[in-house]
Amino acid sequence: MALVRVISSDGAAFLVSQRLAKRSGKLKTEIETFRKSSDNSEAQPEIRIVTIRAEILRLVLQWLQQHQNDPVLPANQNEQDGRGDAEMGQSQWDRDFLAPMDLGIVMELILAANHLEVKGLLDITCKLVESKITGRTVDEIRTAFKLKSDFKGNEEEQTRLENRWCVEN
Amino acid sequence: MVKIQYRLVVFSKMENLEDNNCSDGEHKNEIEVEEIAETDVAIASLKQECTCDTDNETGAFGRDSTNGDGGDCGVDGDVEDIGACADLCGIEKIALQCNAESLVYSPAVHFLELPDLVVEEILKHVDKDTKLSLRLTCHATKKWVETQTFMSLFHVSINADEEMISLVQFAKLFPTTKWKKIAFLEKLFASHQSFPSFVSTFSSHITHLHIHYFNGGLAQILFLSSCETLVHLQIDEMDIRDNPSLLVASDKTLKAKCPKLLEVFTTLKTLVIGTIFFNNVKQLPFYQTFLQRCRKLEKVNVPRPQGPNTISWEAVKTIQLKSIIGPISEYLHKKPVTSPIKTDIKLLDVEGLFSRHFPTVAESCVRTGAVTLFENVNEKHVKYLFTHEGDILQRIASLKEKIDDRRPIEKWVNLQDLYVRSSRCDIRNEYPGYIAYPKLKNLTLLMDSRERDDPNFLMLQRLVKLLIMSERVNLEKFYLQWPAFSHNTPQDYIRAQDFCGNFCNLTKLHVSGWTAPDDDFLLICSVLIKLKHLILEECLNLTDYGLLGSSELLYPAIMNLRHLVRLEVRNRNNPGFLTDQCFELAFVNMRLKFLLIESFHVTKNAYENMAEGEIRYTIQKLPIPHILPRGVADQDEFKALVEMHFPNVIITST
Repeated sequence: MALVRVISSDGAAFLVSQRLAKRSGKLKTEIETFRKSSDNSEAQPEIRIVTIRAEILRLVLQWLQQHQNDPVLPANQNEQDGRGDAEMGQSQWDRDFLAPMDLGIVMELILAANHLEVKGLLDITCKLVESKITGRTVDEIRTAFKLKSDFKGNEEEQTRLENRWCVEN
Repeated sequence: MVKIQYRLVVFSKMENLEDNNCSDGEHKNEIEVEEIAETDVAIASLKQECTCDTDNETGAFGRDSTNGDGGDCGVDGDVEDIGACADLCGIEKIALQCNAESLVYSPAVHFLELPDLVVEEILKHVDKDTKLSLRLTCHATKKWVETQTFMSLFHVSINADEEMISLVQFAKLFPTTKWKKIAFLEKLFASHQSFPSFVSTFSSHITHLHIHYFNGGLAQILFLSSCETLVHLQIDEMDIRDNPSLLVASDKTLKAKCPKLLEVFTTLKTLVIGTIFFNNVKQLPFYQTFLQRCRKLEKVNVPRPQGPNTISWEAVKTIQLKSIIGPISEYLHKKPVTSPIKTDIKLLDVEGLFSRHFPTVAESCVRTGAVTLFENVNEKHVKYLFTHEGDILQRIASLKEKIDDRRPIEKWVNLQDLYVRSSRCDIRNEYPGYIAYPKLKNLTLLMDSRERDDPNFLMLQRLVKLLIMSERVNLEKFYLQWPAFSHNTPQDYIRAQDFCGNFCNLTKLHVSGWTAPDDDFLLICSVLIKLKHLILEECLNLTDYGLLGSSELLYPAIMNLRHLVRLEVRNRNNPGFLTDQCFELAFVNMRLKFLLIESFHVTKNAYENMAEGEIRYTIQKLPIPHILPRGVADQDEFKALVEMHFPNVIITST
């Protein structure tokens, strides 16, 4: 079976079947580029992902393995379809997978899914963040995402004034 | 299933793994590659097992498969010794190639570091209220939602000239903010001195315009013609009694005097005109010209003509048929060569249509094959249907007053809004397990049955089963009302448990005259967690317990409704039983924008304490309750109380 080595930013290597790796848009492109440039068709591709550390890469691969039989979602899927897939595709496994993660890890996972072009994972992680901010007050959002108010003078008050017009009838 | 297992060992310095107990910062990552022959998939799953006793484990490296490379390599010693090993397999070599810098554990990513496209993906489905909160969080998050698209989601209603002035002043302060949906709900907007300023500021980006009164005066016409991006136009009252020259002008005249107006008409997709006031029937052909100028309409209504008192009611009906329905029918199925009209009207609002003309309009849609749905159909409209019944029923999107199953229930597949009085409905059959009206979004049920109409209320039971006791995931608004008089419908025909489980996506619940016990309200607060609006009117048995629940609960039941922005507990005919406890334990900590509590037991302190809670950041409207809080003498004192504690809150009368 054709394998590919995927190496994280901190040097950990993962041996992955090419079939599974190709479920990531980025890895698929890299493998195909390697094949075109390599004389030896038997040679094992080696892909270094300099922006993703081992722990996160492991999570991405774990998610891909779990969803290996799902249809691959095109990256440019339109809004409504994408929403439907994200909701439909979020299984109990996905919920258990994301449950123990703190928001920092989820953010890294989003970046990794975005970088590796794994649409399904990007959808469920974005949805998790969305659920963390929906219905929260300003203070709760600041606390949850470790944000600080950088408004000066009466900027915040002006924004409140601006928001007052944004009331649905 | 053939399962071949590889066991590889790599070392890497994982300094920040808090869950490991390794004292020296060295971790062994044991990689298992499982090859599953059936699925032809292999994955390297990294098991981060921390052990300082590397001697025991490193020697375990190897593989018991005959495929692949690097099979016979072993590693001895701890991480420092790895470099000395000259004969490592591929994966270990890769580990060695990493320099010290690349092994540094990257810090968790901050929310603000997410790429714009990802932020866009996250915000795509966040509700408007949360976006408003994000605008107040910090500069970066404010920037995310400070877009014209976001602002265009909101309507701005102008009820008085002062509001127009205020909006113009506001626009000067925030020039980047653009609203696209404007409603003028008063008659005099064009005569006010600030109107030219308003036009120059806003007209270029208005897409939705709602005008209460339109008489085709020069100022109004010029305003309309300056709205180049206009898509939806709603006029409640159109007055052509003074023969507005520009409104009834020919294309040639209009091109000469106001060329932009013709362009505005061509972009319109919605045209709603409530009533057309006329003096003479000869004035009405303007409607045909008006309609034909709008070439891309997707929604249109049937206006009701209103002539002088000398014109009889019957004559008005005939005028509507000839001067209004005629042009609409022509629009629907003719494509004049001179005017390339696209007959793609998707919605036809027939609220103003005289009942007996409904078949004429409906059949013309059927004949042309237009995919048009009818809005605001009432029972009288349906009564006149004799032909094409099935085709027409499936085109009805909203129905008022009555349903009966003599018109086949299974045909009403597109019904979205239903407003019915139980006394008028006539359901003769049982429909066990059948979901009638699967697309229903809004349901209003007026429980006004009298026993003499239907012995033992059999019909009522069947109606309740048909509408309430089946799962309706599309239902968003539910209004359930028992009128105060003239009926004797038993209250226990509908209980909270009948609908709470079925209406899981309900966002607005309005119950009136419902004498359900507290447990029913408690259930609503616990189950219907997507509610945004909750209006409880004349609910005689509602006490604090119905909203708060037992004191043993971790937090008050109503706080389960995290999305709730509007709460009203109205009591006009009874004193109400809510007390300050509801304010103290729940309301002050909720993110309500609108709060109205009418109860004899609420005191002034309840409102004073609200100024200390979370609600002070969110509340926008506090109407004056019909029953003033204790300690407040009159409405002026209530206004003063609110203004003192909530200076930015709008105080309205109920």
